[in-house]
Amino acid sequence: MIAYIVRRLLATLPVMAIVAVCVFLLLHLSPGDPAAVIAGDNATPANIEMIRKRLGLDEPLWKQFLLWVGQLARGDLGQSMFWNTPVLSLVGQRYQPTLSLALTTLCVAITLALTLGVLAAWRVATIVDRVVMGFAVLGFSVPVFVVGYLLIYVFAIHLKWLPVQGYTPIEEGIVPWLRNLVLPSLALGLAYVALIARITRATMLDVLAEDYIRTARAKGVATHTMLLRHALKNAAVPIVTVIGIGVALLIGGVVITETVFNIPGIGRLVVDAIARRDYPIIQGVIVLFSGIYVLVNLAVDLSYTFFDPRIRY
Amino acid sequence: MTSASPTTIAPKAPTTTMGALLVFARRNPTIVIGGSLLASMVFLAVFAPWIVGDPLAMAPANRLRPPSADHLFGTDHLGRDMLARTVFGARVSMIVGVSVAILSISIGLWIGLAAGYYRRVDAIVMRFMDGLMAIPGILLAIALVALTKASVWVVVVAITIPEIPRVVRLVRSVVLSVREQPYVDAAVAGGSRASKIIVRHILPATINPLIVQATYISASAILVEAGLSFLGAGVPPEIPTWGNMIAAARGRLGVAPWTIFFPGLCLAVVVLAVNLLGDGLRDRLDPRIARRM
Repeated sequence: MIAYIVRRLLATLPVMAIVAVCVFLLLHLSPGDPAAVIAGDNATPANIEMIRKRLGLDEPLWKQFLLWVGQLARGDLGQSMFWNTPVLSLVGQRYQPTLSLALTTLCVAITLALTLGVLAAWRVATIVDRVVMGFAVLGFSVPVFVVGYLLIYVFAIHLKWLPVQGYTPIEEGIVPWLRNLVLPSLALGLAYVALIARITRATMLDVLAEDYIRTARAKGVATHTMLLRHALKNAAVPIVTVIGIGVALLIGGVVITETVFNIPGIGRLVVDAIARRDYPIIQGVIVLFSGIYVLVNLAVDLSYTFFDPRIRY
Repeated sequence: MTSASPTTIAPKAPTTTMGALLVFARRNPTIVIGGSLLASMVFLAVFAPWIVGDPLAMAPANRLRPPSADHLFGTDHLGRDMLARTVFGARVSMIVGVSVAILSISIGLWIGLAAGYYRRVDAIVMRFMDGLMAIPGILLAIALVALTKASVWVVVVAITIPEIPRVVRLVRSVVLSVREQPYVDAAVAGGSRASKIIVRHILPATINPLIVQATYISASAILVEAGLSFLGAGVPPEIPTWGNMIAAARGRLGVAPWTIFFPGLCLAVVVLAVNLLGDGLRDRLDPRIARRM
């Protein structure tokens, strides 16, 4: 197993290399002149030339690429132009809020989605099923920031149950930390819930039609045991796969959610970098998040053997 | 869902056009609901200048007025009519939704056909697509917009690039299943050129799934555009879009919730309409996928 994990980890290296090539080519072949954009509207040509030198944009493309890949291989994501510090250390200062948000969203969304999906499949073609499927379509359609402001308006401004915005570090207590994360997790998780609930319902429908479910029912297994132990566990592989693919939704949504709820995380770092045209930060975070996505999906692959022991590595 | 119940007894053949329409509506409620919602939004967007007032006219004396007979959607912090701004905001969303769908499909289609048909192309292209899929689309779009001067077309291209791998994978999967069909073997045996086989015998099989995919791409493009505008990485700020209207209003949620509510509602309704249309088309045109979802 360990040898297999190591082999798979090594196999992600080519994927990461391709990610690096794609990011580099897309950003460097785009028609805009980053030096001119960064310098702003009132820059002199000398100014622009200076920025171009500083970013190394005056070098030939292949040399820029090799330099950048060399940095990446040493774990250096580049240097912020505005802060003049390594991107990695900026990310290090801000990872906690983002990680907290991601983890609470995962917990909330997966619990909610599995419950809804199992209910819809169990009560297929009833009003329960229709409501869940309708909710799923809605979840795909309402953007993160609209849900976010709606939640803030209802639960924070009107009912005053939860704080409007902001983040409290976990060191200051679990309860204040959680209170600040409830609304952002719901807003960020909505589309993810819709995605997972849909695949859960679809796979559960297939599994519930199997003979061993009829056998379980016939021998009098309690309904909840039948649904969770017999059916859901056998439906796990496609569901886990979609959970892994759907992490892309969370990664994209985190940037917007942190802006709506004023959470000082990695997403905010990127948004602030847009206004300052601090493009090494954006580029570095893209590579970082792509890497996380690849690793999450590797972990998903490895988890198959836990859910389905017939899959062996 | 309609295709899942082939056993239902077919109703008597309708005799009038009206009757035919009603039967179609009963069998495909999502196509009709989504389609008509979308059609009315497109109508509003196209004829915006003749329907509502000037979205840019400021009237500082009238700032932050709640909805009233004069201003159905109220006014924003510069006294601009929110109804006019919301209706004009539909334009950017529609343009982006349609252009991204057309552009990503016309690029992805050919890459997908080549990858599905030629094994050697497949190995290289699909590795690149995997890499592209791992890059968070909205961040890539942010970077591309931040590096160039903001314009609607930069936004369209920036949203299109991350959508291409999805089209390529879809087309490739269709090609892989179709190329083993006897009629393709027959065409090969008959000595047709590869290009002719692809265009005449394989391309048609990709059209139905692509129509369905086009609606989903439009929906996601409209959402991403709104997100980019909201983050300040979208079209130039002087063009009213639902995203930048919400961004401008976000500090006033407690005082003037209508400045966020109406653009947000329109955004949600349009994306919902496109998604409903997509689900309906999927059930009708692509039963293979419909059965799985």
